[in-house]
Amino acid sequence: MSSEVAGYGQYRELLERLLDSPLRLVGYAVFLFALPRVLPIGIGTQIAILGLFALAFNLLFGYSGLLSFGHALFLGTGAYGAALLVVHLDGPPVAAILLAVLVFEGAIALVTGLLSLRLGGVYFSMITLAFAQFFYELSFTVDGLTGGSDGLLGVYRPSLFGAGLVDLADADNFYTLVALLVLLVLGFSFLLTRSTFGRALVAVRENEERTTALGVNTYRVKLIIFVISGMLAGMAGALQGLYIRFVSPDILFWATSGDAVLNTLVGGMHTLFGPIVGTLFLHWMEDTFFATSPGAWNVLLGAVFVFFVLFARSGIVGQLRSLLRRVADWADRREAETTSIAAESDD
Amino acid sequence: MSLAANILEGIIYGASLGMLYVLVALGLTLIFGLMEVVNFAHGAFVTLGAYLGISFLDLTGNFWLSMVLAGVVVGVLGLAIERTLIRRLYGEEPIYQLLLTFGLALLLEGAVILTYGQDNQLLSAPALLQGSPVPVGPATVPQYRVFLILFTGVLVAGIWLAIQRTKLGLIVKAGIEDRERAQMIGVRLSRVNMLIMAVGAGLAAVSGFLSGPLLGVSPQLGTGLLIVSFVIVVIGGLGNIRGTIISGLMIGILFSLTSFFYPSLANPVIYVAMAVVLLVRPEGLFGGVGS
Amino acid sequence: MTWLYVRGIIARPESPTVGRRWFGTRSAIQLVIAMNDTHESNDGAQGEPTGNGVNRRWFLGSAATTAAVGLAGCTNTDDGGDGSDGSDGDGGDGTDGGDGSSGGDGGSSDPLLIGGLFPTSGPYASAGQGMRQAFELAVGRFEDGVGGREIETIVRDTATAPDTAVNEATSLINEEGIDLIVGGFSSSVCLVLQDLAGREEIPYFAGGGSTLKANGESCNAHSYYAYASGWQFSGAGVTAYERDILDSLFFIQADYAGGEGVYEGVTSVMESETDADMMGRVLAPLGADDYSTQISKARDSGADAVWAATVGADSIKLVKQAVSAGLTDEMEILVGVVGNSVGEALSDEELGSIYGGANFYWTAEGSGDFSDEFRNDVGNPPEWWAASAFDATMEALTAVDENDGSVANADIRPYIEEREFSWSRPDTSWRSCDHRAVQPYYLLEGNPSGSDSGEYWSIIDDTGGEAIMRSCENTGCGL
Repeated sequence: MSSEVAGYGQYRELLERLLDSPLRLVGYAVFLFALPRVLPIGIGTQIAILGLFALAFNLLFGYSGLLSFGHALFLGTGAYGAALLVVHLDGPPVAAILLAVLVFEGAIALVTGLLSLRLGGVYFSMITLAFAQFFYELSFTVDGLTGGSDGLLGVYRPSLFGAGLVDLADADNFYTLVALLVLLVLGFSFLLTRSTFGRALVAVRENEERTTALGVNTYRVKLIIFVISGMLAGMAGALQGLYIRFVSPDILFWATSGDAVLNTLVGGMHTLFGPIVGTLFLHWMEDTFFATSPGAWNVLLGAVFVFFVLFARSGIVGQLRSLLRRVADWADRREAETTSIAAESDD
Repeated sequence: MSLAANILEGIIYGASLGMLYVLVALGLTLIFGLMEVVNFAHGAFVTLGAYLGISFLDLTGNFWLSMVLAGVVVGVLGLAIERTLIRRLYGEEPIYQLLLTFGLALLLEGAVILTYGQDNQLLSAPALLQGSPVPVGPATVPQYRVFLILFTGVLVAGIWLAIQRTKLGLIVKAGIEDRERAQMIGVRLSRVNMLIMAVGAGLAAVSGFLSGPLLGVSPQLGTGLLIVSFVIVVIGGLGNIRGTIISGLMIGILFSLTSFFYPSLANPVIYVAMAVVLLVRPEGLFGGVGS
Repeated sequence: MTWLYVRGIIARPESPTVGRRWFGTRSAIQLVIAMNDTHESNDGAQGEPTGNGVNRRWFLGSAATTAAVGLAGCTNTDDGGDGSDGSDGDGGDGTDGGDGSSGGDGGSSDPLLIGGLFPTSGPYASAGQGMRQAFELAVGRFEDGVGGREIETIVRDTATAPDTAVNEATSLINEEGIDLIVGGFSSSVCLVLQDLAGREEIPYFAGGGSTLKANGESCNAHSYYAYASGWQFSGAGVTAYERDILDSLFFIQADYAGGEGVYEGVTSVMESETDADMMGRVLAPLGADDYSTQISKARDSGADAVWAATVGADSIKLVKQAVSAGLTDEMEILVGVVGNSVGEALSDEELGSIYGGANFYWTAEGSGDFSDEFRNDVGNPPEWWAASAFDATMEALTAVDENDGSVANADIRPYIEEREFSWSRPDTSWRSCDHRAVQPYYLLEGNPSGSDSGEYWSIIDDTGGEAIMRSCENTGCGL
């Protein structure tokens, strides 16, 4: 998206301004608050949380080009972290839990990031995958802490600020919290991608060598975004643990990381809202096709994914955008034709 | 049994498991070295090889023939995938090829489940190898394990020789070392890509089929082997054939010995090994691309 | 989201009704059909009014569901069901509609809504399918409803994943207002359903779950287990000792909580009930591929038999490798948990050299009616988890029936506790101190020539009763 709108027709210019304006956030808010009115609130909550997870993943992938196949690590440890805090500290305020998880995930992301960013490209994907698998295996090994394969039971949702202030056991309250956090992260990402740092990120993605030559410490840029992405994915994990009130090793399995990849690519990887749209879309598709023909669902999912990689790499949101641009250009062209016809007849 | 015998046994058993990993990891590393594609569909080739092998076994009743047929059919499939799909993405970011093969992995394993179901399938070692275990020094080892080490050893040595000694092998090596220069001096890598994709897929299928009598056959078979293979190629150095073979054996033996002394650490330990290697030598124990 | 690596699938075109995880919420349309055509919904699965694709609601949302429940009230009043006053049918209280159907505790004439949760996809898909079919069979036995209430079933897939299971169960409770839960297979799923049932005060009848936790530290008054605990597996060991198959025992145990429970239970019962020597154990990582080191430790142990405290695919790998290593020439192998699914994956030679334990086998005396009916309906013999799902469903429905349609645990619990029953196997009863069924446990012998008849195992004998159960004082359950 470009801020240079000169040279476009008026409709296109208007569209570009709209697409680039913070007003979009209002649209996201409407979307998020409409979600539980259109779908049962349980489904809405799940989509918002997993959408947040994909969003966190996309901050790394979409904007720096680093494909992590191990983001389940953050979702899983975030969920375990929150659940353990609830169980062992007798239900501290959720606000405190979320803060603690953010700090904790920041530390995990820093350590794993330092190691996995030493080699770029596809190495990074394999190493992050292996790290997540390590924690997956570890969750069975330290069963005194995690409950092993039985999972961690006895989790509940304390109030947001303690002392019964904002009861999160209430499904509506909990959804509101999740939606507000998603909006906050969307707003944060919006600002981030427009900052100097955000431009450095895109520069790293587009041409790392040249960016290094320009004097940018690309390793540090990548590490910072990896840590931010890990922290936010961990927060999504904490919400997931509190939402389901249970955590098992499944959440650390690499399939969970795969979900984030699928949701993001299908929704639109270089877009802010794409991951959430992708999450919604694939869940809808799963609901529609899994039940009618469960066997074919995985084949279909694979085929859809291959299709998006080959033919629609910008995802649903990206495709919609180009469609809108084309419509705007078409409108501009028509207008130009009418004006020129009018001008001719004036002559 | 003495401790020494136990350790010897652990090493031999670990080596037989490790050789199965090597067959998978070798294809992975060759494909990456030559095409810069991290083939996530490689696990699906393993699974497909095992299931197709069982079908061929039902049809022909011959274990060896079924193994070859499974390898050939999956090899052709790999070739077809290279020609029709992966080829479209050459020259683009490697990430897209990875994503593409990830989608293919979903699709292929879905097809396996659709055709054969989720249940474990029966695959026995051929009668020839079912006799009583053979003594190796102070240890005793089942015949099938001995066969695995010998057979895969010969197979891997053959590939090694082919790459070192034949003209085609030299082209492959040149392609791995410097793709652009190889093309500059007139090598047509397009054919070589097809060949390596087919060989890699075929090896994965053979590994899947051969692991059947040891591990049982389920739709998850390939995924398990693929993740361990990732660890192996990271440790051995991506694109490094010798490194892949050595680290494959090492991981097999490490798992086997850990599982003897500290069973609960056997699964996590291979990832610890990987983290240590990354800390000490990020480009892999045996260096990066090169053979 | 579905993901084949963890949760694969088995296509069953003839059973189109399984809602998918948390999205499979029954559609408003479906509810309307259900309520209007109660005769169809009456016999459970077959009549479950969800054609392919009909239940693909999604964007209609909760408002529509509420409306449909309101409509349901009307239909019921038209039916002349006793007890509904007109004000109920007005549907004025729209927002509470979701709770409406669970409000019928005190013997109302609302349909009884049972949530069935089975792993119909994922690594235990075939077990889940069998459980689901047994569940439907049991519901079908109550054609006239229970205690004057029609029966409706909603079946969801747990994908053998506790997260999925708890999501599905929560949606069944909050959005569908189910009255009781039946199902669960793996221990982790059962534990999480038990937790939820206790929290929501809904009776839960488990068709799986051998973990000791279920009737120990995690037990609650709302949960009932019709499946053997790991402790009861010892029945196979006691029989083997009595039949001179073993005098001493060494364990190869999968390293997870369930395996620990089996080890603890079997050694403790063997020590109190027999003179067999317990020669220790070796752990194997859960899901390990290579069991060679465990096999050599077993060989060195000096025991004359080895007990495999492993499950599913792990047991298959272990047996294959042990037979190929010649272990069976030196000692006996007893796999604690087997069924036809394990038998099918073993060769004749492998099968012929091992023993197995089971909580049920379809050829056992006293399983006749259920086994025959299941085989007629489904085409293959039932596995023990199917039998347990059948028992669980029969007991749940019988209890509601005998209590005039009440699903309040205060009514069900006193009725169930100490009750004797014999739906799929003889000599079964409920223990009141921990809500675990007292059952026989069979010792089986692999039958190498049984692949044609589906009789992969032959029964040697069984041991049952309180002797193979953890004593009430030691469970840690305060019921």
